[in-house]
Amino acid sequence: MLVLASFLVAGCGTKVTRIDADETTDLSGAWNDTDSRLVAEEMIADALSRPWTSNFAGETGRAPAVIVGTVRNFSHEHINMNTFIADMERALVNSGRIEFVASSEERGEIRAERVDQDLNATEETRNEAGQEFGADFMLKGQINTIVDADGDEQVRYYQVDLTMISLADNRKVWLGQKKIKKLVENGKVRY
Amino acid sequence: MSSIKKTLLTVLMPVFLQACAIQHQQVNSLAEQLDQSTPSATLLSLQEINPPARDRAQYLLNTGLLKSVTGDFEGGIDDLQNAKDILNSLQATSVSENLAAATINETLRGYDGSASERVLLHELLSINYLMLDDLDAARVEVLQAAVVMDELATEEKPVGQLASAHYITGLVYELGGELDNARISYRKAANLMTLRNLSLPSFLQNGQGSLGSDLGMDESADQYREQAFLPAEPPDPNTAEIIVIYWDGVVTSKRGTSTSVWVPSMNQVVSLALPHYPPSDYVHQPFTLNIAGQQYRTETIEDIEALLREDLDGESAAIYAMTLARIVSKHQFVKSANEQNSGLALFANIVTMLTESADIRSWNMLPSTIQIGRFSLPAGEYSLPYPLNPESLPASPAESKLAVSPGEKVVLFVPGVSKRIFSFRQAPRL
Repeated sequence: MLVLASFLVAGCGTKVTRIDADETTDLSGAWNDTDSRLVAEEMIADALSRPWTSNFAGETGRAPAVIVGTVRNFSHEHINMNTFIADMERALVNSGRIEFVASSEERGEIRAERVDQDLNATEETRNEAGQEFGADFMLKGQINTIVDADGDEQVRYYQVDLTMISLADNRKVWLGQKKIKKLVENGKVRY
Repeated sequence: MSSIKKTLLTVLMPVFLQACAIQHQQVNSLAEQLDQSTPSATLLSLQEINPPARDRAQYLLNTGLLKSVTGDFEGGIDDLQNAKDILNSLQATSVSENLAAATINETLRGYDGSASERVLLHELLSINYLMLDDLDAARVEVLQAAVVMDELATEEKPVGQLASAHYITGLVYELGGELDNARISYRKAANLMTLRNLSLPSFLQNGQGSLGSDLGMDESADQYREQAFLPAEPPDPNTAEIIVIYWDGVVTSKRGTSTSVWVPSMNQVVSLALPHYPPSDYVHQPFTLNIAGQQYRTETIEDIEALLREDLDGESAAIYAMTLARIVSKHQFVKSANEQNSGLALFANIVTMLTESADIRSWNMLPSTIQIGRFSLPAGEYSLPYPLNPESLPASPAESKLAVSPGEKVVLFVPGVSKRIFSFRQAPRL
């Protein structure tokens, strides 16, 4: 009983170790920063390697302008879609092969600023309304999961589907899919 | 360890354990008074208690629930998600906690919730997200509830299988336009109620009218209604559909039964402390809306009083086995003290008696029943008996108005203890 009591009063201190942001750290088996970054990079690389960009450039003589629409989370986990969308935007913009326009939320703030400029900024520095760059394509998608659990083992299957849709005629010009499968084994015994 | 330290620890342990037992009783009495008090006052009293780490999950479940029923859905989500993390981390068998339970008492285990509580946690989280207009996050929670229910499922008993969780799952699917999935979930809810010999509420017999009309094609709609307990006629498109989730009462808290008997042959006091649920004094009260001379009432889909008793029954074999192990270990403790001197044996007997305490922890601020009401109303403005989406608690709960549009779906969350109404609204799908 006395030995047990000493177990009960024992505590553990907090230890913090800084690691590289690109380092893969799987703790719970849930969707994490590595999944978000790798899926975004791989899928956007695939999107940019397909003929829709060159076809559009051939037809119009300029790079396509893309906007990221809704990417819905249909998974079993609360996934921060903002980091996933930001990862995709970064991969798209950094490719240099497409133009990228602000999302509907961002546009609202920018338009409010333009209205404010209209009232308060000098004529030389003022930005006029009606000069926005219209997007040619919208990127939409969803993350789905299938979870198969048995006792302490769980198989988590993630499927990310992205679609590039032409805003001119609703044509789907690219369909991307990335699958991740994880086997999560939970410990049966703890201290 | 020196003999002074050993003696000090042996003296202090019963004192420390008694303090814990008092804290558990304090939480229970707060829960028992919740019906007469207000959730805000109960939350303040609860927050004055500083629980030990092993009771943290129970504390967060209760604070999360109280925040939710007072409309602080973000705060409720934070606490409930933290509670979920703790419960998940405690699912593995603990060596030290089992050792403590086998030698001292069961309250030294980390509180990991009963089977039904683990599912109800996801159910409440999904309601919270829905009230924050975050249908995708609500969907995540109902999917997690389904995984937990699958893990808990056994062939013998429907342990941890909740009709209300399936119904809320169906509702979330329905609101998201996933009608096939909704139908399967409603069917599961109906099947579970049938399995538990409960009478099917009207909304599970013929209540999912809007699903049929959402399908769009007459032939499919007919087939669909037939398969999913749907009414013969789809609802009038000029009406709005109202879904009421009503929480009635406060569930009974566990009590401990302690028995101490002097056993001369063992030269020892044998103490037993076991948890049980006393008879419930809950009086069923539906939520009633009187509209245009017609009464609309909620019906029970989940009897939480019964579920938690079912959970305790399921745990009883393990509790009895651990109690037996504890009697043996405490006997050894007294015996070894007796071998040293009789005065020490008397002291050891007192220590074993004082350390014996039943684990009376539970998520004891849950409602006694979960009720659902589902009905159609013509577009218009209607009186509600409590404030709708109040920013803060008014001095005295007052009536409020609910305006509904044609084709709209309105989910009302009505926690009886707070006498307030919270809503999620969905415009007609184009």
